[in-house]
Amino acid sequence: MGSKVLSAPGAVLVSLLVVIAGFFTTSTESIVLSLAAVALCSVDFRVRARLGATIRLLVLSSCLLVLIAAARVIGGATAAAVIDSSVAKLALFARIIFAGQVLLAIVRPKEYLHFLDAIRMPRDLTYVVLSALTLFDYVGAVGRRQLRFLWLKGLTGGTLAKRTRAYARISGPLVSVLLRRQLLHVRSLEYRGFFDADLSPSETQGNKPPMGQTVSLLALLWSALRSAAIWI
Amino acid sequence: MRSANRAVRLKQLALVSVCTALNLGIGFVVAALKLPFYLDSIGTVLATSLGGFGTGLATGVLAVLVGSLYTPTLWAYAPTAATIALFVFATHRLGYLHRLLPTVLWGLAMGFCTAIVSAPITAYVWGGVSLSGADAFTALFAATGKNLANAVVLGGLSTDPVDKLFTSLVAFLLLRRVPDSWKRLRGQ
Repeated sequence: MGSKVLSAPGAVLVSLLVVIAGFFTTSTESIVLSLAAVALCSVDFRVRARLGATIRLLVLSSCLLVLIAAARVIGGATAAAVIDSSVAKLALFARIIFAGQVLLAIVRPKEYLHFLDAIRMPRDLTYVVLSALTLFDYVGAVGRRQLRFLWLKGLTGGTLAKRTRAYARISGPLVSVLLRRQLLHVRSLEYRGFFDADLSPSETQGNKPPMGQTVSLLALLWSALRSAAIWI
Repeated sequence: MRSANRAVRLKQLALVSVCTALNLGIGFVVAALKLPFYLDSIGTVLATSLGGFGTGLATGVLAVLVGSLYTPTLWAYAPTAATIALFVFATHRLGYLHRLLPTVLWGLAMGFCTAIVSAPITAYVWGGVSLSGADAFTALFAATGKNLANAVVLGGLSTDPVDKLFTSLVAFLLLRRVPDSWKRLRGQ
C-alpha cells in the first residue's frame, strides 16, 4: 500500500473532472477523459512507482485480447467486428487498471477507514475489507521471505514435483503465522472499541483526513464502476 | 454465552481476512515458483471448511472485489466464488477435505462446476478474455472455428478441473496444519 496522501485542491479538481466527464459525455469520450484525469492525477501525486505494475497489466491485457481476436478471425469471425470489440474491451481494462492502481498508490488504509465509515459500512465488513487490503501485501512479503529461505537451501529449482513440494513446505507455516497474527489484531481492535456501537470505527483510529481524499476516492471508485456499467 | 459468541465472531472475522489475503497473495508465490495453475480460491475453500458457508461466501466475494484493483476482470466472477463456497459446504459432509480420494473426486467435480458458471461471464461480459491462463485454451478452440461461447466453455473445462484439483489438495494439506482451535469454529 502506498504512503502518499492527496492534497485537497488538486484532488477535488481532478475528481470533479472525472465525475463531470462521466455525466455529460458519450461513453467513449468519458473513458478517454477519465483516463486523462487519472493519468494527470498519477503525475500530480507522484505515484510513478505503480507505473510499472500498470504497464505490465495493460501489456498483458493487450496481448490476450490480440490473441483471442486473432484466433476468432482464424476461426472465421468478421475481422472488423472482432477488432471493434477488442479495442472497446482494452479501453475498459485500461480505465479500471488505471483507477485501481491510482487508488492503491495514493490512499492509505486509514483513509479507506474514514471513507467506509462515511458511507456507513457495517463495521465487521469495514474490518475485513481493510485487513484484507493490508494483509495482501503482508502475505506477499512473508511468502517472499519463506521463498528466499527455500532458495538459500536450494529447494526452489528442479522438476514440477520438487517445486510443488517446496510450495507445500511454506504454506503451512504461512497460514499458521497469519491466523495467529490476525486473531491478535482483531482482539486488540475489540479492546480499543472498534466493534462497539457507541464509537464510530474511525474515532478509534485518529483524526479524519481532508475532504479532498474522500471525494477523490469516491470519484475514482465511481469511474471504475461506471466504466463497467457502460460496457455491460 | 455472549462472550463465547463474541469470541467466535472475532475468530470468524480473522478467518475471513486471512483467507481473503491468502486468495489474493498466494498467486504471487505460485507465480514465483512458475507453477502452471493459479490456486486463487484456496482461501475460499479453507474458510468454508473451517467457518461454514457464510464465512466462505464472504471470503470469496471479498477476494474478487479487492482483487479487482489488480486484475480488472475479477469482480464479475463473484458468482463463481459463491459457487465454490456452496460446493465446499455441500460436499464437506460427504468426505471432501476429510479423506484423500473424495477430495480428489470432488475437487475435479468442483472444477467442472466453476467452469460452467464462469463461462457465460467470460464470454458475454468480457468477450472471451479472463486475463488468466485459460485464455490460451480459449484462443486455441476459437481458432478451430468454434463460436466464442463454446470456445470459452471448452477452455474453462480444460483448465478449471486441474486447478481446482490442486486447490483441493493444497487445502487438504493445509487443514492438517491449522491449529485445532480453528477447526472447532464451524460447529460453534
